[in-house]
Formats: sequence, structure tokens, C-alpha cells
Amino acid sequence: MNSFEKIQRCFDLVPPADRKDIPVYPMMLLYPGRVAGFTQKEITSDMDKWLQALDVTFQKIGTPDLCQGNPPGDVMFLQGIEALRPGYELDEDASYQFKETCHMQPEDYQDIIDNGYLQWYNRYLCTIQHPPITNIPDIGKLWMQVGMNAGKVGAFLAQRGVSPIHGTASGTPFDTLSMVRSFGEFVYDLYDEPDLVKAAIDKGTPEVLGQILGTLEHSPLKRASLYAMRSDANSISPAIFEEFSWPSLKAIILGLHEAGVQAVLHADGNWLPMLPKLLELPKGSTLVELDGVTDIHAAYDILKGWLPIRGDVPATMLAFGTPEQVSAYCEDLIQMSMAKGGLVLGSGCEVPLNCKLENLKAMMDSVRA
Amino acid sequence: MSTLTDMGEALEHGKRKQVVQLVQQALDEGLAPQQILTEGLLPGMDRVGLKFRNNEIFVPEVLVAARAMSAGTEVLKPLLAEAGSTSAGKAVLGTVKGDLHDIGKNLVKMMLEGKGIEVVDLGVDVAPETFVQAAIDNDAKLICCSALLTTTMPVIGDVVKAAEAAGIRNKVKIMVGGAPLTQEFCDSIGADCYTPDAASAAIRAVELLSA
Ligand code: B12
Repeated sequence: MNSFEKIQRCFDLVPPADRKDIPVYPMMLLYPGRVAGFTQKEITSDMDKWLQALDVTFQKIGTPDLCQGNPPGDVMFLQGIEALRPGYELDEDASYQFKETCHMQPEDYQDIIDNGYLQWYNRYLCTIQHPPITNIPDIGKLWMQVGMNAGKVGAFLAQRGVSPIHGTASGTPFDTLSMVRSFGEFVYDLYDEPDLVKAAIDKGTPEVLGQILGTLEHSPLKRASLYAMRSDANSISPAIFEEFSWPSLKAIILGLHEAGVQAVLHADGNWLPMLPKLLELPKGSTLVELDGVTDIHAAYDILKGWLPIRGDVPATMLAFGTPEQVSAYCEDLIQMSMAKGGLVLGSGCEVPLNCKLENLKAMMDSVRA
Repeated sequence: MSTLTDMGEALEHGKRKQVVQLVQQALDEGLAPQQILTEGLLPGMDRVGLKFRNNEIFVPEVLVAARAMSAGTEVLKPLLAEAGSTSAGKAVLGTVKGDLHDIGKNLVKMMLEGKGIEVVDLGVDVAPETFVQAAIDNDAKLICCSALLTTTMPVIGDVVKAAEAAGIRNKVKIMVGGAPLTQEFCDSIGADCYTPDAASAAIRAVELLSA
């Protein structure tokens, strides 16, 4: 069975006949640089070096079924957070680092409500580029470049039988506002100005959906990642989730589903209390990516037979554990999911830069050997 | 008495304006600033810590409760200073060099303050020597280090070494935390205490400072 079929069957929740049918996805954006001997500066500024590094990594660990769909520089752009860059603000071989600072004032909620979410977001994006973009329409060129690069990555991966995780990616309005406003301030806004925040999210929801669908019109891969990095129980309460985040997240996923687009919900942090809500989504509509913080057995119990999950070999285990520990961890996930399917065997979020190669190999081998 | 009870309750629910109002009311009723702090505000924050530890409330509730607590203590601060009241001890706190995560660290700060501990917040990306120098300068008996990245965890070990090098290791306790840390890791670098959450951190901090 090829990778594309494996992934589709996983979304369709067909139990795997064999462990080899379980798709495997180590999320490796930066790590391949280490494997191939490129600095982080090289792979974040030159996508061809990143692609070369992927090839070297695939040779060493085997070819995965899924891979990042955007090169590192573009992931930084798509996540829309101010970043410190290797070779500029940081050492040449340091991981790029997001830096959360308050880039939004309370008045901006009203601006979003009156004039639109994306005009605000694009203006904000201009301010965090290096150097900042002063002519706002110029940000369009960056969006276009990101799209073209994704096409190039897609073609590169397809030649190797690998599927990109998505055709495009976007932050959801609740989570983006939380990041741009910065966590503490945003939480205070939720208490001090709940209606204003809600109205801004409502304004953003159809715009974000429209933007995703627009981008995917030109993509052969009808799958979109949603970064909901601030909707977990380490960040907010289930009550806040239900009131502010979920209605918008749900509307976006339903909109995607109606348009025939699969969603990939990037769910960092503890999602356990939020997961029952996801059962309101159409069956097989969304891959839920867990990062090692959510109890994956409990999560699987809630979602099994309804939504597939990806997870979740923890970063700490990949960096400091042994191949035997990784194999045992993977074996447990495989056993958990053989009867009902719906598992993408993955790393918990990113494979860390100090991952041991033999640990990653053990993860790949658990469904390959 | 009921003013103090109401104050604790308002604090628990993050009602900042009401807390300030009740602090003022308690002062008008002739209560001592120290009593308002220890019998009104701190018990409220204690309950917040307990509920947080039991997963009954979440980070935002803690943040607004802590904001209400700060607003209340702001009113009391000059009066407490005048009365020369003492704190439960002093701690320096920061996220280690190379690491910019501060949400957990800020919660630890709030919880320690909720126990009446004075906290010198060094912010994020803090070098080992800076922790040590700040502990010396402020005569703090507790150093608290937060790390969220597997790549920055080892820096906490450097803080322990820097304290040894500066000759203050036997005068300070070093407490560590952050999502990827474990008790095992804490032991391996020779730190004194690890806790998985901010509320337990505050409880242990009080123990360490009074030891
Ligand atoms: C929010 C977040 C961010 C925000 C940080 C915003 C901020 N102002 O802090 C931003 C977007 C900026 C960010 C950036 C990055 N992040 Co980040 N981030 C997170 C996330 C989602 C949540 C962390 C958090 O705030 N949790 C909530 C708080 C309340 O929990 P906590 O910090 O654990 O604190 C609690 C306890 O640990 C304890 N505690 C904390 N400190 C202390 C201290 C003491 C003394 C004690 C006793 C207790 C204690 O008490 C707290 C409350 O109970 C985690 C995912 C996760 N699941 O943890 C990733 C995560 C930590 N990030 C990660 C990564 C990789 C990064 C980046 C490198 C990404 C990038 N390429 O840019 C950068 C690094 C920037 C840097 N140099 O630090 C990885 C780390 C993996 C690894 N290698 O170890 C994680 C685990 C995500 C993942 N699964 O891959 N991140």
C-alpha cells in the first residue's frame, strides 16, 4: 500500500491489516539539518538545502509517509510569530525561536470588527518581517512565494512517495489573537472585554476559512493544518474553550469539510478536557495531532472510530531516551490502535534538534521492520 | 471578619476592583495591613493554588486571581513597608538562558507571592551567573529555574555549578521546574527540589525557606 492510500485509510478509520499499513510521520523541520551537516541558518534561508537534508535523513532512517509541507523559513512565516533567526539574532546553528511579544492593542479588536480580520493580520505580519514591510500590499508577494515553495516541496516529496502533511496551514482566529496580543494580556481581555474579543473572532472565522479554501484551489492536496496552539487546557479552561475558541474552530473545520478538505488540528498541550467537543465534527474529517502532553490512551478512547490522531513520541524521549524505550513506546501505540485504526505514528510535535538518530530510526522501524 | 472573607472570595473569582474596594474597607474598619494580607488576600490565593493543583481551575483563572491579588497588595504595600513587616522569604526566579517560555514561570511567581514570598523576577533567557549574582545581591535563599526545552534543561545544571563556584551553594536552595523536567533530572544535576506545578512549587518554597 502506498503512503497516500495509508493516510486515506487512516482518515477513514479502516483498521490496518498489518502494522506496515500505519502511516508514520516524524515531524522534522529543523532536525534534518543536523543529520545532513547543514547549519540551521542554511536550511532556514535556503529551501534547496532543506530538501537535500531531507533526502539525507530519509536515507538514514527510511522514508516516512508524511512530511512537513513547507520549508523552515515558510513555517516561520505561516505561524505568524516574531522570530529570532539563526545566523542573525542567534548562533548559526541554533533553532529559530519564536518570541512572543504584545503586538496588538485593545483598539485593534474594534479595527478587526469594523475593517476585517485579514487586513489587520496582514498589517501585523508586515511589522514582524525582517526587515519590516512598509508597503503593505508587498506582503502578497510573500504569500505567493510561500504557495510556490509549497508546490515545489509537494513535487519533491511526491517523487519519493511521501505526502506533505498539508497543502496549506493557518492559525485559527482565537489562537492567533492570543499569540499576537500575548498570552497574559489576551487572558485579561477575555475577562475585561469578552464581547469585543468574541466579535473579532466571529469576524475572522469566515475570512480565515475563505483564505484557506482560496489557497487550496491551486493545490492538488486538499488538506489544511490549523494551528490551535492556545486552545488547550494548559492555556485556557474548557469553559473558555467552549465560549470563545470552539465555535470558530468548529465552523472552520465544517467549512473545510463541506468543501472536501481534510483538517489537521495541531493540538499542542493538554487537549483531554476539550476532546469530547471534537465528536461534534463529521467522522473522519480531522486528524488530531497530539504532542505528548495529552494522555494519548485517554484521547484515543474518546476519539476512536470517529477521528484519527497523530502522536506522540515525546521530544524528551527522542532526545534523552534509548532506542529500546522508543520502540516500547511505539509498540504500545501500535497495539492500542490495531483494532480500530486511526493512528498516524508520529513524534510529539517537532523532533527536537538534539534527538538521537538511533531513536528516530527506532520509531520508523517500529512500523517498517 | 466578613470583609476579609469577602475579600478572599472576590480574589478567588478574579474580581480586581472589588478586592481593592474591600482592602480599602478593611483599612477603614481599622484592620492592620499585615492582617489584611495574611487573613484576607493570602488565604484567597491559597485556595486558588489548591484548586489549580487539583485541576479544578485553569491558568486563566489563576492569572485573573493573581491580578486581583496584586491590585490588593498594591494598596497595602506602602503601609506594610511603614509597619516594617517581614516577608516569608526571598526568591530569585527566571527562565534559563536560551529559553523564552515564561507562562509557567510567571505562574510560579504568582503562587510564591501568594504565599507571601518576595520574588525577584529575572525574566527569560537568564544566564547562570545572573541567577547567582541576583541571589547574592538580594540576599535570596531560593533560586528558582524554569526550562521548557530539552535543549535548555542542561543550563539548570550550570546554575547549580555557578552557585558552587560562587561559594553560595550551601546558602541557597535551588528549585527547578518546567514541562520536560523530572525528579530524576533534578537529582542528576544536584538541584534541591522539583515540582510538576506552580502550586506545589509554592508549598515547597515555603518549606525550603523556613528550613
Ligand atoms: C506556549 C509555548 C510557546 C510560546 C511561549 C510563550 C511564552 N511567553 O512563554 C512560544 C510560541 C513563544 C514558543 C516558542 C518556542 N517553543 Co514552545 N511551547 C509552548 C507550549 C505550547 C506551552 C508552554 C506553556 O506555556 N505551558 C503552560 C505552562 C503553564 O506550563 P509550564 O510552562 O509547563 O509550567 C508549569 C510547570 O511546568 C511548572 N513550572 C514551570 N516553571 C517552573 C519553575 C519552577 C522552579 C517550578 C518548581 C515549577 C515550574 O509550573 C507551571 C504551572 O503549573 C509548549 C508545549 C507544551 N505542551 O508544553 C511548547 C514547547 C515547550 N515549545 C517547544 C519549542 C520547540 C519551541 C520553539 C523552539 C519553537 C520554535 N522553533 O520557535 C520556540 C523556542 C523559543 C525559546 N527559545 O524558548 C517544544 C519543546 C520541545 C523540546 N525540544 O524540548 C514544546 C514542548 C512544544 C513541542 N511539543 O514541541 N513556545
